[in-house]
Amino acid sequence: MDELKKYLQNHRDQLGDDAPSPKVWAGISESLEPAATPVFRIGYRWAAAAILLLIAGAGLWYWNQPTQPAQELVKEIKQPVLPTITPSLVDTMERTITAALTKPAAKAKNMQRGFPAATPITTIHTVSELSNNDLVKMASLESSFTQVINLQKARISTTPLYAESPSYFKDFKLQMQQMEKDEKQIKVFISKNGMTDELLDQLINVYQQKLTMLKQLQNEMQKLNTRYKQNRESIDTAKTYFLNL
Amino acid sequence: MAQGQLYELYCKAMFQICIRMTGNREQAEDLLQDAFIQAFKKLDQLKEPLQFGGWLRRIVVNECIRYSKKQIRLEPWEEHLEERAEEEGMGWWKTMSLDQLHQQIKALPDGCREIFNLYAIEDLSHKAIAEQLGISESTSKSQYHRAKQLLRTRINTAIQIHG
Repeated sequence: MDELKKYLQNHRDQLGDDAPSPKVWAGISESLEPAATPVFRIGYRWAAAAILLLIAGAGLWYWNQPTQPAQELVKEIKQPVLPTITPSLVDTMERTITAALTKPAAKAKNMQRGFPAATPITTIHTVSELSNNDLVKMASLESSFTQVINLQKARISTTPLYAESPSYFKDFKLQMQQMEKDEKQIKVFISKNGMTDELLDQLINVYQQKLTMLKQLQNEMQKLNTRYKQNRESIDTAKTYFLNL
Repeated sequence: MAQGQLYELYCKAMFQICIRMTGNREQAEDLLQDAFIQAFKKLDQLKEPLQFGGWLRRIVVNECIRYSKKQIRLEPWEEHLEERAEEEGMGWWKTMSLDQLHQQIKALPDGCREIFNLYAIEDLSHKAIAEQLGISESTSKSQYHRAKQLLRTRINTAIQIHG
């Protein structure tokens, strides 16, 4: 490498001090949030999430029904109560799922057949082999939760942190790893023994704990950043880091 | 909003790349804006969040190359090997501050300025520059040396005038 190149490489980050004008950020934010597009995108995602919830809900309903001949199980599935679209999709979905699936066994017993207080949207004819396939039910439930968990994880991993260090969040990571282990173990039990009420409760609990923990982690990150900004004037880019869960 | 924070963190460093490559503030701002929009739209493709800075830098450099490829006008340059040996002597680039050196780099003529930046600062090989700009490898090398010689002459002149 020639000497001038070496010199410039060594001082690359000290070259120049020009700052872009505020109109650049204005253009970026405008371009990322055009009036019509997000409504469509959020609406599309929301529709996908609603379908997943519907599948999970239908699965729960079946597991808690007494065994009946397949021909008799032609029931109306009523629409679960879904909140309107808000800017924070993760928060909304999190609340919806938690509300819909808290103590599912007890709720399902009270429900008897179908979801309460809603307009019927569709009728499905049950297929007998589906009710026997616990793995399919487990996959449906998993996909509903995993989507929300992944959204929340993505939000955390793209939030820059200005204070402390990755080791500060060690406990959160360990807790998450432990929950993943628990989840795997429950799934192994389900695949060996079939889906029981107890295993279903355990699986839902693990997902709920994951969501709660991710929310706590996000709150902690926000608290640290706010405190840092209140105590200091500028952000030290060299010390900024992102959390990899 | 996370995107706003990321922009605040990286906009200045990324803007230096754009302004060095274009030598023009207005064009640099347009490229910066396009690069950030592209990065935020593709954020889900970033597998390792800790590598955001490097990943963004590549997007910015690629955006600058895309622009340069359309604009590039290269003046023919006859290279003399004895001049190349002379260039290395004395560390002439240390005779002025980094800020002044940066100003001189921005003021280099179109064509050799982009090649100088890509090779000396963004650390691309002449082969990669040639492929991306659609020029020959020897053109990339000779334009780099042209830029170096121009820089040296201009820095010496500036020192003689301002002391």
